[in-house]
Amino acid sequence: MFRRSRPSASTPPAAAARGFEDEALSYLDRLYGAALRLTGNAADAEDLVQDTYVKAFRFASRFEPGTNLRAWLFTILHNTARNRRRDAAHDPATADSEAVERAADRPADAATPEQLLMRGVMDADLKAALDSLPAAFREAVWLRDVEELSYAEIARAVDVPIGTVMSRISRGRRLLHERLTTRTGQHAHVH
Amino acid sequence: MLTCTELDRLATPYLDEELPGADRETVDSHLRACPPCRARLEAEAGARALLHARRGTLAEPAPPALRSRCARAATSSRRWHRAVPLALAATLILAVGAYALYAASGRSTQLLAAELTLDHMKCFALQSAGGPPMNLPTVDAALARRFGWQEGAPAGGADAPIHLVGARRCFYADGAVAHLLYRHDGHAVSLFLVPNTARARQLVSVLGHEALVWPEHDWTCVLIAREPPREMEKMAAYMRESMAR
Repeated sequence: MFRRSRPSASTPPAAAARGFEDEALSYLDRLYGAALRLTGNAADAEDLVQDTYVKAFRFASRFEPGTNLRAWLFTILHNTARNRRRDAAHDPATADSEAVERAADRPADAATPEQLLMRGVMDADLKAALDSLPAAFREAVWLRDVEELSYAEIARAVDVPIGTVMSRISRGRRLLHERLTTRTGQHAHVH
Repeated sequence: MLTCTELDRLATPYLDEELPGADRETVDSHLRACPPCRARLEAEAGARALLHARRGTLAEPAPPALRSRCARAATSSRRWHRAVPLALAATLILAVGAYALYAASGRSTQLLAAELTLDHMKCFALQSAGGPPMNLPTVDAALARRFGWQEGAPAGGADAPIHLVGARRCFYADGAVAHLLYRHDGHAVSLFLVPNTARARQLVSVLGHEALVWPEHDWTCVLIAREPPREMEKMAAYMRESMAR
């Protein structure tokens, strides 16, 4: 629970710090992409990413060398976004999830993956559909399918059990499918 | 034969190829016999495949100005770490003298946190608190005598995230504030107990530290460390739990 990494004895601290910073900064585009989806607008996304880097550099000693730095940065991004949302009217991780539970449980539209891909869903439509998902589902789906983090890495990043991660990914994907097939109305009942 | 409910739990790891071979086969045989589950799986697979196919175009490059701001964060962080230990002794002694000029109540939490953070840094920098842990009854007696604090200090220890290494009277508010000094994996952590003022819960970043403020009875607790917010919350939870006992 209160682990801390020990500094490596073999690398000079200054060089190690530069290496850490360079690698962290190489993930800027990916953090920004996730931040855009989490916040929904460019100004907030930029603030969120900058805060994330300030914290990452300040707490660099807490990163465990040999683990996934990108996943660690997403953990900070998640926590920073959550702290910023704390004053909001409701917590999207709980309230939204419950609100859409029934929707996500409805029988699925039966388009095959190929059909869905071939429909030529526009990127703008896909982004809009993603943005319409409850925040907790959107984040889990994004971290898995766009960032390709493991279940365990996502569980650490958002601080929930792996079972919850899988169920959020599952519900998020199915809800996304539903939103997309509803959006492209005439294709909604292919089966 | 798998039930549909059981399949539901396995569907996502099945699609992500995280299921062992034996489990895959039971899923496959259920899917062959169950069209509704097949439809459920295909819907999820469709969204998954679409996201995978669009990974490249979904991401948007960060604006160049953001890139340079983030790079500057790295540089200033390096400078801060280098500069603080050297400047600490000289500047903080001066800063501490000003504490007593202010009253403890009615001022912003940000300012309270800033002043207590200076005190935290001063104590750990100047009177190396890494020595042997203090005798707990001694600390408790001192807290009760000097500050009227009857709850006893959260002591930390082998199972706890932190351990107590010292206690002293803080200059802040004419010495009415108790300062408990802790170590967390060797790193400095302070808990300040400010009497007769119950401030709202707040987490503030100040002087390169995090300060978590919360009310406890008619006292205000201020936990200060250079730790991420999540660690701060865990340590505060431990403190609150100890005080409730």
